[in-house]
Amino acid sequence: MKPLPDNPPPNQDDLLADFADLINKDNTAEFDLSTDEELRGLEEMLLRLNRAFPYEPLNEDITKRMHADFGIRRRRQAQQEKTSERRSWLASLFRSPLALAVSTIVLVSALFFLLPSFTGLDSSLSGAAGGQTGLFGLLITVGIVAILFLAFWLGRRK
Amino acid sequence: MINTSSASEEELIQQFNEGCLDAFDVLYRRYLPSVYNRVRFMIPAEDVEDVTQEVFLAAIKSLPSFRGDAQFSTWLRTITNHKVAEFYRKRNRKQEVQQAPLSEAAGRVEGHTSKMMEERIILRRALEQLSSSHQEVLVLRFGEDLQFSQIAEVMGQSLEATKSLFRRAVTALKNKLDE
Repeated sequence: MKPLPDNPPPNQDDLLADFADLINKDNTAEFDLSTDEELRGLEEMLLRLNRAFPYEPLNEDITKRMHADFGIRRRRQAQQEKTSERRSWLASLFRSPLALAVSTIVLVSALFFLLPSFTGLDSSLSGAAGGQTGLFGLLITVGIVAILFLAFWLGRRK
Repeated sequence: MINTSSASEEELIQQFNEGCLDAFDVLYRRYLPSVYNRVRFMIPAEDVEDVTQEVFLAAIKSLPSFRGDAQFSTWLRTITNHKVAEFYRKRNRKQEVQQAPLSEAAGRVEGHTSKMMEERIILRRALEQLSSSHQEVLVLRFGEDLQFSQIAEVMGQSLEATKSLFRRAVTALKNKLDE
């Protein structure tokens, strides 16, 4: 039985990996290529790849500029997220029947409490008969708003 | 409070999730070179900075859901790959009909000769056609400049398996270019 050599010859995987390490250190130097045709073809491929994409460490100027730009983009993104959160909150208001009912009640109540000031203003300008007309008009407005809300909600449901 | 510049990734992520926004700046400065170089290997020069920033913006958005199952660097590489894929999807949608000729893309970026730019485009197109593991090992070696022992760790393989994968990747790339 033939004894195993102390240092077995390196295989192509190791040779190619070593070559990759070597050319990465200096991509301008001339390198001795392997005499093995197959390995030489792969080494040439590595040289081509390394020359097209030489490793260039990022310099401090680019890092600083990009960091500053990132800060701006980050703030812009945060702002956009807030805006879209607000939009989705408003949209959810019309999607949920409960939320829609509550907001309608709030709106109608607000209008109801504002009613005396409206009628007061109207009556001072037009007299008592005019005040009744103003009240009637306001109630119609409230009704229309409520119907619009309902119609909008039903429209969204479909 | 932990000194952010010397803090570990886990500590920085925890600080960020607790509301210390500066913690992400440390992560940004720490990982910018590797993300930038990875993107530079895969994306045309004029879009490298944009895509790099997109990666970090996506990271900042998803960081609260990062559970630490994988290393932060691995997680960031996954985001980078998604953003690179997204970049090509968007570009293909825009340029499906009128694909810019190689010579047109050349000479856009200062300091790079048109021949080099053309060569990059040819190599990138060939790289895109390789399997993901072949692409990954070449990007880690030439894009991120990692040593084979580091690549083995990232890919969860032995050093021998990594070197073998590397040789097969180079062979596949050569075959693609010879076609």
